Amino acid sequence: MLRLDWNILFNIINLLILYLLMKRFLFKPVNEILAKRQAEADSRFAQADAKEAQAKESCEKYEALLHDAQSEKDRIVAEAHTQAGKEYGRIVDEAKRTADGIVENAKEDARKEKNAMMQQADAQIREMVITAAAKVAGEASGSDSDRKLYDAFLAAQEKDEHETK
Amino acid sequence: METLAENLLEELTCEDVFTIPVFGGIGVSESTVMTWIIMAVLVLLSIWLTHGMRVTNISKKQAAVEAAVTWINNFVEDMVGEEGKKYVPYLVTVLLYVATANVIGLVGVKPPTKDLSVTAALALMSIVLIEAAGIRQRGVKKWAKSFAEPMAVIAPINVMEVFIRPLSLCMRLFGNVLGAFVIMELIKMVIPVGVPLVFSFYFDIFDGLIQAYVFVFLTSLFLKEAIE
Repeated sequence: MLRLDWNILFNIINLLILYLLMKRFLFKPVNEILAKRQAEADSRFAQADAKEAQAKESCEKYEALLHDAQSEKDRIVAEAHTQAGKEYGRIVDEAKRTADGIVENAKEDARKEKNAMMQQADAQIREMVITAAAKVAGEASGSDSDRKLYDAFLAAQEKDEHETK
Repeated sequence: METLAENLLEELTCEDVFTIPVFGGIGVSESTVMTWIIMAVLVLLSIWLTHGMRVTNISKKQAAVEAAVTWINNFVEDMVGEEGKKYVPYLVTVLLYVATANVIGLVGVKPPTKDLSVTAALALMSIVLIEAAGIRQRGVKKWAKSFAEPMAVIAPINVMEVFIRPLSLCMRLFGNVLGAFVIMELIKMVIPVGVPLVFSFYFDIFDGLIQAYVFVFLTSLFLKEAIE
């Protein structure tokens, strides 16, 4: 009970051996497993983070793409609008020009027609006058009164012609 | 009465189990042999417990071992501090050994910690560890200077502490276990049925575990002081 001898040395050796054995058979395997699990957990977290970052990146990319598509659409629509406006203007202008041409032609035609009619009327009047003159000459009345009558008739005709013009 | 005293004495003495026939015969005491048995039990238990451990999909046994080892490591690490982390395995080993040695009385054998040579060995190891850790951490010069801290006057007390600390560690453990053992033997002799069970809870289990804790706690405390 109260002896201090070689057994102290034996017990010190025992303790050292026990320490080494426990270190080898208890702490080492347990710590190894814990470290491995930690490493695995860490790597998984890292993987998850990387995947998240990747997903975010593609999300941003698609959003940018969508945005681009929207602006492209807007651009195309705007272009089409201006194009259509131009086309519209062109067509309207052309129509106007055509209409103007038609109106002009019609006016010209009307003017020609009128001139032709006037000329015809002139000719007819001349004929009528000649006929009337011939008739008067045939009746052989006084030449002075004839001349007066003739002049009066011509004046009346000219006045008529002015009014119709 | 005489037989009782004789029996008690017989229980108290640590006999030589066998003698190594050199230097005129070195007696190997019961406590040393018991220590071997405890060592074997602890090591075999460790091997069995850590056998077939996996990283994932672990068994209940492995979960329990991991939890226990982590808990006891953290427990000792809290006592010894961050810088004393590398001494934790030794302290845990001592804790497990002393705890096992103290409660082994339950199975009817003599606790090895009842033998002064075992507790002396433990205390010697502790003081060597403490001073070695101090030298390792601070270097010989600073370690030597640390005896004159906080002032030179108390240097003799500090030097004395180097001897007093292991002595108190050794004697505390030895005295507690011996006392508990003697009381338990007396109770067993007086009333062999029923009553010893109740007292055994206190003297063998509670006191045994408390003493193991106290031993490691004080060693950790001194160690922490030495390496700070």
